[in-house]
Amino acid sequence: MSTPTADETVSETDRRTTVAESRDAENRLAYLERFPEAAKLVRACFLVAFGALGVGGLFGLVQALHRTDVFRGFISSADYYTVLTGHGVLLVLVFTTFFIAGIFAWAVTKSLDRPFTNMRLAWTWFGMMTLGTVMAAAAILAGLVPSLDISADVLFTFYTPLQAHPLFYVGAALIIVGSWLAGANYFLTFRAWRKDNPDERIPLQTFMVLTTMLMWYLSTIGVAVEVVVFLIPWSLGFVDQVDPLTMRTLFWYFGHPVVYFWLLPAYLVWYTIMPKLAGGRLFSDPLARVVFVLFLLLSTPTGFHHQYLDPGIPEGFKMIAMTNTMMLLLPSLLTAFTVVASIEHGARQRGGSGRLGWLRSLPWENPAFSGCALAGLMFAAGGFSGMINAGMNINYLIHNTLWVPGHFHLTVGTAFALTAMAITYWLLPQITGKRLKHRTLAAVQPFIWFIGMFLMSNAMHRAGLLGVPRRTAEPEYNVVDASFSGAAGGYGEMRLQIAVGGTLLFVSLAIFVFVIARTWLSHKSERIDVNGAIPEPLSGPDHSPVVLDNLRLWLAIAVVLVLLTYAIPVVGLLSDGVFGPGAPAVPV
Amino acid sequence: MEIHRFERLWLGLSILLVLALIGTVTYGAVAEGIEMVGGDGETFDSANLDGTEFEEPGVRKVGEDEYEVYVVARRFFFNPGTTDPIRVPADSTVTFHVTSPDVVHGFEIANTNVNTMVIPGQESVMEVEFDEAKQYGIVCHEYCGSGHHSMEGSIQVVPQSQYNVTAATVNADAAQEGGS
Amino acid sequence: MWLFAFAILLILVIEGMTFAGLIGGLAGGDGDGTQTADPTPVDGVATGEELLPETDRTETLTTATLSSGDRWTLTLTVAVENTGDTPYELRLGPVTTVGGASHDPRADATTGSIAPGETATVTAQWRFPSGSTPNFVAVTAVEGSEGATTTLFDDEVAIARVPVQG
Repeated sequence: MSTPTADETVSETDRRTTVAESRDAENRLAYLERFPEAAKLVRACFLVAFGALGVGGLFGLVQALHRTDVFRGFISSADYYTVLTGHGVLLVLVFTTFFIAGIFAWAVTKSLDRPFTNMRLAWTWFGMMTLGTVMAAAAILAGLVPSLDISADVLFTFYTPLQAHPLFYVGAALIIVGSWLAGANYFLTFRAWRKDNPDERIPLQTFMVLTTMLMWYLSTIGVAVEVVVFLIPWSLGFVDQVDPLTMRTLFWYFGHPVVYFWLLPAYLVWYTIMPKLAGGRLFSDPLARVVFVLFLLLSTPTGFHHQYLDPGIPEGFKMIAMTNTMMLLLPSLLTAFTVVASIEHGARQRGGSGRLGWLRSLPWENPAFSGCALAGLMFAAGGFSGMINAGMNINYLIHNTLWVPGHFHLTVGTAFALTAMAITYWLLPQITGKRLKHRTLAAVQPFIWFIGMFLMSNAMHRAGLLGVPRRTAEPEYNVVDASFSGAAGGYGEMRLQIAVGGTLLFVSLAIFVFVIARTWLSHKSERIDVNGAIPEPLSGPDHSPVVLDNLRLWLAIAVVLVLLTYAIPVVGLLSDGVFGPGAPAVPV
Repeated sequence: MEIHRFERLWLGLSILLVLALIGTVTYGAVAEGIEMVGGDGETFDSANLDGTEFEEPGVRKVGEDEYEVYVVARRFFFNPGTTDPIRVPADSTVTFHVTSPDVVHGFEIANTNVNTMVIPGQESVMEVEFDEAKQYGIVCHEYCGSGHHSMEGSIQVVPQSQYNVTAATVNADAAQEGGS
Repeated sequence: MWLFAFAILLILVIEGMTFAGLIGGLAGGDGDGTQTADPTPVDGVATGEELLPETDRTETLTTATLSSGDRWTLTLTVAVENTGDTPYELRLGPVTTVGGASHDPRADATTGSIAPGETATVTAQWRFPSGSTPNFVAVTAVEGSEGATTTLFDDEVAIARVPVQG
């Protein structure tokens, strides 16, 4: 039995809180031994997720260098849009969905302490999602090969009448429908647990998974209808024209809640695992439940804030979306409080003292902790720039400028991605039985991400304020160039910052992939040194009203709110023709 | 349910923040009179703009210091705007009407709050006040195809004394014919 | 650990500078808070400008058009006035687009030999993949008669961004 060295992840508190040596041993190999099938599924999901992350990240580097005119030799400017489509789809559709499917599978089986009721179903949805990924990725990447007449240069939002090859739409549909089946897995397992435990409160992690999936079901209706009912027949030639405004509306019905589909798993990690990593316990279980319920209710009826500047959507509906969006700030602000309180508690358990001095007693050398903490800090900044985006008439100043990618690289790009990478350092040993290699590299990786993202995002925000557009391969113009100068250092300096930041991000990503690959390919260890046990919260579920667990009620209210926000506008859009006013397809 | 004292304070401050944000936007809408794009444009068959106001894009004077500009955004230029700048006089109120016959574009006067999406079949209407003589650039900020990054235009706000309405409209017609 | 301190310090410095810059722009700007200014001269030769200011003859870029389509076509016309006392010829060569790709003209593009005092024009077309931005055109200027010529200029000239037309 080896003695933990200074840079290992076992904290003092872990050793103090475990009760018996035998229980300790059980926890150390717990997950892999107890749920081998589920662990295999989680590994499969992570494998696809990290593959997508690697390719998508590489594309990001190419884009950063091309856009800023640092190096334009990799691809032509026309191909920039192919690469941009790949970057968007692989990162926010594939990496996210697969990682979330994996971590939810882990969370449900672990917190309910029972395996999936139906592994066949699990491998079916995994296969479906993977097939969808291959199809969509093939359609996109074929755009780089001129001799193949297949392409999907439509970007992640695939606005019509730009038209991709049918493979792209079918692939995207398979990924979404596959994720629905994943949800079925979680619900079926929960139902079996409920039969055996009729009076217990839903364990917190499962509660979070179920509320997130309910929100996902409600929100994906929009994009599923758009793709399956309209775009697949349209791309195959069975439908002549579609109405671009209706398609945009269906997309953004989904496009806003999807960001919470990405955010809530990060919250799951911050609420349930990060306090333990900090050496403490979750401050309040009931408030965590309230937060997740609020997201279920409010995530979807906000989509119009992505369409503030769309003609054809009356101002009244935009105003409703705005107030809903502003209210959605509350659960995130509450989360900030609870998470900070929980890690402060942990720090004080570890011996920290003073108003702010406890910050130094946190385990910053543990990449699982530091990644989550830095992600949370960065998310706060992203939240503030999001508040600006949400201001209906303030949006005029930054819509479709580089400010917007500045914002979402802080949120999905860091709050989600960095948390995912960080928690993998903690979770991978538990699902593979292999000890984490290259700990020093791993410890440094979140900080490099943080610095790189800070540089890039800060410059993107500033450039956006000057009016520099997003989604543009060569943002240099004749008349407009002059107005891109000025303001804290000039446009040239901002470009350099983006290029440097983007490069640092790629370096950080490469380190992550390297550490994970080396760990995964190493030999199994007799004992891993990560303790998977999660302590009880300070304020437990018994302190929360039972009504919080009434998922049916919350879903019903959520549906009502969606109808209130979307029924009238959608009927209005369809009343002048389901397919009209249409526009001829433009294949790209 | 027990809520810690600090948490209640934090929740209160958060609600104040939300109200302040909504208040700022309301102020902009009510006091400053900033309207959102939407609602008051026409819809039409995007592929065929004949018979609509967009058949002859350009600048028109509709009143004392009031102008209307009909702009057609297509892959990959603005008409008017790209080959010939849009010219309006200073101290005027200009209503922009923008549409597209092909794909979704963006229309933004860079570094100002004149910004809209341009969607085939829909008309974006924006009323803008131009105070001083200046030159502005127009950017397309929504991906519209491989030439998206080449799509730009300009607006020249000229001093009243130098402004010639006929010249402005004639330039726009010439541009529409696709000539140089 | 030092990484963490460095990160926080970096944030404070850059955010501070950004904030100061933005406030400075607001206060010291033209009053309405925007940074828009009259455009500075663009890089590269625009229509109406002299293609080769370093030679003593006048070579004016009279038209530069870019038509879009499956492939884009760039058309340049240069009007040359031979103000010197020996025959003069201007040739247009390959165009280099952003990213470095080089494209030859569709046909030989030359003014032919221009007698002193005369003017001539040369029009050339290049085709390249859609979305390519023309950056440089290779220009050769030669003076003198057959057999006894001197090359006055043989290099790439930057052209300003050409607006796209239908």
